[in-house]
Amino acid sequence: MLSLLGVLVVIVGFALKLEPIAIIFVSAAVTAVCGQIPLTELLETVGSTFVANRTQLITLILMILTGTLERNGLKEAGAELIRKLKGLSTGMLMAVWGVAHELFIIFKIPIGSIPAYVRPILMPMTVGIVESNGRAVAPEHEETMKALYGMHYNVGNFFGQCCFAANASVLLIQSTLANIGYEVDVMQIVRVQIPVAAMAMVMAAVYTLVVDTRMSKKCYGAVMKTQK
Amino acid sequence: MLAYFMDAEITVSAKLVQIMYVLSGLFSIYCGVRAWMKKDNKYYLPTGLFWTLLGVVVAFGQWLPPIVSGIIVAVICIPAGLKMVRRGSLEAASKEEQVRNFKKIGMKIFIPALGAAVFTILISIFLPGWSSLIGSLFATIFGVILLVMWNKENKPMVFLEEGRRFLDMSSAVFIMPLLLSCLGAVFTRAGVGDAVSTLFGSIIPAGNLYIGIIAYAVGMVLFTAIMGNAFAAITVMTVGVGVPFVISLGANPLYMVTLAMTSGYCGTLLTPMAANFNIVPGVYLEIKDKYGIIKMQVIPSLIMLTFQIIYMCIAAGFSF
Repeated sequence: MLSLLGVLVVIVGFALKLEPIAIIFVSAAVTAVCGQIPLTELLETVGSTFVANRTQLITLILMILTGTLERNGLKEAGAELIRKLKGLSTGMLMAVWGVAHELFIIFKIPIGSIPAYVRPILMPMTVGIVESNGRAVAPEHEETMKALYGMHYNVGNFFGQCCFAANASVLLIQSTLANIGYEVDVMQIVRVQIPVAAMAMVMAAVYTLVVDTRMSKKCYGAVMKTQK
Repeated sequence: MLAYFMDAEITVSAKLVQIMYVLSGLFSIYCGVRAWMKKDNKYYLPTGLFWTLLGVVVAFGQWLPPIVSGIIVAVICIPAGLKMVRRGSLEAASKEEQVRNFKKIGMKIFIPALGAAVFTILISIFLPGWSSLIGSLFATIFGVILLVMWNKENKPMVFLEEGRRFLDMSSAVFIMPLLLSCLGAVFTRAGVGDAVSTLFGSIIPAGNLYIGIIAYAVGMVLFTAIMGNAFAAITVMTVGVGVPFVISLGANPLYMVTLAMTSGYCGTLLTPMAANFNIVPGVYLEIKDKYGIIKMQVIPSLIMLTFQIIYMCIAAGFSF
């Protein structure tokens, strides 16, 4: 039970809003001491896990491109694109993007990451809708848009990914079931997930429309749409 | 290292992935060295140390002994944990410059922007067995070539400095998800999972299927929220709660374990521990309230959790 002290460090650390990396560092140290893991073994565990999982830092290479794309007018191009869409409200644009994003996740097409697409393309498009009505975007509305994009991205990603048979999460479910004595095919797992993915898609789109409509009415007295 | 690239046993795909890590790492080292040279924030020494050492372990991790990588990771946690990794003074190009460049290049700027997606799809269709990650490498090379052709002002330094601006903006939180994976491995090694199942066993009454299902699903949410990772939670919770309190009562194991996993994702939506999903995107979007995305996710998360618990209660009776 002593090994739970490391978990306690994490809970207390985050509750007190301490620096996350410091919390992880201390938690690992406490866990190692309580679990009597020798220092060399602790360092080896950390080193090999870090190296094996550094795919998570893959955006490093794309950053070389992303910043220069912005400098060369990608944001302006996004704004230009929105001027061509007719009668689309800010909430509709976000909801349409969210549904498309989840479909891309289900088919394992990585379109729409936050740094590569939402920030340089979709945010300027959404803000552009408000500006095309001759209004400056309200700071409160802009913050809501950012949070909605973050939410829609995560919901689509989490609940869509289990519909792709070779996804790591599906394989983990399969191996967890095998560990407790049940052999299943990955497609059986996918079928269980379909109602969850569908529910997530509808729920997130409706939620976005409701939140954005309320915020628009509060900030501008009307829903902002592109000109017909 | 040379032997690795000469080895015919290792696939081209694996070699290209390593090349991508080497280039990514060198870029991080560049950012570290620039921070030292420019001295444009008070903590330029620890900031430079952080990015340089991170670059070393990203680029050469494949060939470093695990203990050396472990020591480097421990060392870079020090400036990061003490909040000594700070932004430099780089600013985005002015609106005028962006408009001027847009007039020069026009809508075809979308071609390099869509590169990562297009290359990834092409690889998955035409090169089965290859890592789709390499799409990012090809997209970067292809994008840089196009941008140089279209605009003579895009010199090598422009790419590097614009990239450094983005890396500066993402700050040390950038590596937090990876550090969490490491913490998860340490937890597993120390037997934290067993301790948790003992703990749950002492507070859940056995014999009621619906209470068992709620404990399994909500337990996944809580454990995932603490760890920031549903993957770490599912094994522990299934052995500790799923089997003794749900599946042993005759509930369909396929539905129970599968839905417990995605119930765990409701926990991911609620926690700053899942920084790569809940905090880092906010940084990219320059959101003012760093918990803004999590706050927006509370209602969707609770709706999805309720939906899945009801689904589990109905599906428990399905024959396996």
